[in-house]
Amino acid sequence: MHVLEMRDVSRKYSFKRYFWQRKKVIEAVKGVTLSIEQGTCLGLVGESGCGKTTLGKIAAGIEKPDQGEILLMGSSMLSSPRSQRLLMRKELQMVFQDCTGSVNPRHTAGKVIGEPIRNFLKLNKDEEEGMVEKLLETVGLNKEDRHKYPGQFSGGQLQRVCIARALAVKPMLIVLDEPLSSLDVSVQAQILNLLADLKKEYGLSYLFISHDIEAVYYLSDALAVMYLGNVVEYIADISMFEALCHPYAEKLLSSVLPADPGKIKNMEVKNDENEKPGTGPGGCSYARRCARASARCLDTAPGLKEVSEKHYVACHHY
Amino acid sequence: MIGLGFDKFLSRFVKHKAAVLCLFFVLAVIAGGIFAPWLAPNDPNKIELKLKLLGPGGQFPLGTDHLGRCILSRLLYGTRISLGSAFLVMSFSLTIGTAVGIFSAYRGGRIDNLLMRLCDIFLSFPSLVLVLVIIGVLGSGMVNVIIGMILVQWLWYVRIIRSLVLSIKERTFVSAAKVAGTSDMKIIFRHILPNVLPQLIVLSTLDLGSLILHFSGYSFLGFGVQPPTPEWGAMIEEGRRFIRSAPELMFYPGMLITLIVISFNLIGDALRDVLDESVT
Repeated sequence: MHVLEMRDVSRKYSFKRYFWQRKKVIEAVKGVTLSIEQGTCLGLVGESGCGKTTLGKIAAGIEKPDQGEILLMGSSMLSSPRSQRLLMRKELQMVFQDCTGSVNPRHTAGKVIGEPIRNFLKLNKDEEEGMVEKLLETVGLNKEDRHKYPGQFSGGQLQRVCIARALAVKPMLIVLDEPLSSLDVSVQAQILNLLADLKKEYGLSYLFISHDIEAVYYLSDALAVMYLGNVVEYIADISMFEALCHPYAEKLLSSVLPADPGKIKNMEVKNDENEKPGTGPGGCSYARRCARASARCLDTAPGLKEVSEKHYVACHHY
Repeated sequence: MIGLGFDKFLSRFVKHKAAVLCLFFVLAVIAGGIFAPWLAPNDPNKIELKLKLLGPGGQFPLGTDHLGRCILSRLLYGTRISLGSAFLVMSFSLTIGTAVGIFSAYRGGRIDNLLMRLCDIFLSFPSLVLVLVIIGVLGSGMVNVIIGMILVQWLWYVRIIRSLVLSIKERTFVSAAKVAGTSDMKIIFRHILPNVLPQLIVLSTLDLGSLILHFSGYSFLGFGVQPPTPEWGAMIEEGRRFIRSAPELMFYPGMLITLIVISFNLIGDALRDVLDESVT
């Protein structure tokens, strides 16, 4: 059963026009179709600005897509009546990238974690407090920490508070929007382990957005690679990791440094991110940067097609 | 609500010695105004021409004015009107300004645009002119001056509060609150208002000084309080004619206004330091 299904989801952002400037429209997400199996983690990787976060926000229900359909456990989120949407809200929680910014600096940890509890579950004060204490212990903090203010926590502890908040109402899916990138490396591993443990214990599903491929490999069961608003490659099983074959995915993989510096093969460094991405009418969005681009690539955009079982690539060469 | 306990707040505030001194001074003046009937040695409006322009001492601790009225008593009673009207203008304009500012910023879009352009139109007039127009329509008198000042003052707050809310609205914790199922109304009261409140407190203390000054200014011009009611600004205006023979007639109320304004400014500065600290 799919927890969340996104069908052909698009989101555009238009910018304000000043004087006779041309109206600028950025397509953050272009017709993405993805689904997340219950109890699994879908990793979403891609460079910054490729629409990962927007897709995550759409999945969490903060952003509304311009187009497309979102199904939570098979029922549509966008066309449901208001009362039902509120119930769906409860099933989708999110952990943000910037843990310090995502908690109100004037609320204690207890109040932060208690917020979804107060909104979704109608509990009395004692029950709520007990629940907050339990959650704090679940994420590896002390009960007494609930009286502390966000400024009194370290980054890792605060991210634990955020995870506890997301966990509070026992959602089906938690969107993890780069939960590690604001933490230092030693803490990253702790949080990653915590997330893995929680997933097993509560049977949670994750949408894990990251640009850290190693972290994604560790936590995810399936993997989607995004480039400029498109999903360019998808594997339903992380064990097929080595089989990633889209030119962009290959390049992304080659950017991972092996632990042994002697093993660094031919590292190809090319700062071409800021090159004007090829967004001509039609044509593969990666064509301008792709070493293997052919005339066809500039002409027609490749769709996502199944190249082998559980493995989808959007590239003309496969 | 502000993010630190009262005892902590107090212990930090006490470190600002000048502000503490000013706070005591302000409280003393307020107390003087409240308990004026018991504290004032004489009737502030009793005219006794035989005793005019007396020096300090005896029955009149600060002397008498050109109509033989006790200056100290008039100052004490004047506090009620000078400070009271400033507080009144402040609380009304701040409430209206906050409500409109938060609404405008949070809603955004066309309504926000419309409200802001309206503000621009009103703010493009000097506030003195605008108040004078309102007084011209309503007629002079204390209540009308207060109404006029409220009508002008709230526009400034809308502007400031809107910009404060705009920056807070974009912070991630507002999105996080939405994910947590918090309604818009609760987001405003639980997340946005507490985060603009410290700045509002600072702003209002800093502005209280200038409001006192303004109100006294209108009285000085003869629009506000009508004689013989005692008010600081009006007292300065009455003493103006005797500036050569009896400068103390202007000195006492003028000094009091200066001290009160400085006190409010110093308290406001200290509050800003203390409340900013609480976040970091």
